[in-house]
Amino acid sequence: MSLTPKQRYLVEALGAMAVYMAVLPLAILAYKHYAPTAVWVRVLLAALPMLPLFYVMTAVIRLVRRQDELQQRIQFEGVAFGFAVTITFCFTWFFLQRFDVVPSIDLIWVAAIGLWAWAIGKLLAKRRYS
Amino acid sequence: MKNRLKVLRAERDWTQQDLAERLGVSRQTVNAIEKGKYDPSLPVAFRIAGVFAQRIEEIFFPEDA
Repeated sequence: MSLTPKQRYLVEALGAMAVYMAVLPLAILAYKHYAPTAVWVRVLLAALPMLPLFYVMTAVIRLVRRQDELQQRIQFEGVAFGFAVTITFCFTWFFLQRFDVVPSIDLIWVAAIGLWAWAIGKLLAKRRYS
Repeated sequence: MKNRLKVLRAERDWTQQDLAERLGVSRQTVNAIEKGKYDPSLPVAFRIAGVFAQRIEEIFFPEDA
């Protein structure tokens, strides 16, 4: 049975996310249990959950390369929308922070907003062409 | 750009999925082309012409034509 590009991506991404869900608590437990002082060990533990995420990133690139021209255009419009929203958010938050209106936040929120904006951008682009 | 894709497909009793597989694109892409919401690239237009054994200008034509 041949899988569509989307199905292949889901298999790859879900597999990698399962590995991520297994590795993340292990890395946190190891850090809390051994409390390593060596920087390189802490870097190693912090980077461990990133390995499956790196695989997801390459899976996204493989997905886009396997897709046809309209699907690639939809991906591009989604990424463009997501990028614009994320940059706008970053600049707005940066100035609000500089004027002591909002507190400093973790960088992970930028990733979360980028991913959601990308997904919304893709939905909007999909609607345009259906 | 307008096109006769839907008519040509119906004449052959093909579904959008049938045509998509012959063209090597997704069903959504065939649907978007048929509705005039997406103009295909030249390579895909040539593949469409090949599948229907017609010239490109017999399948695609400008809005004001």
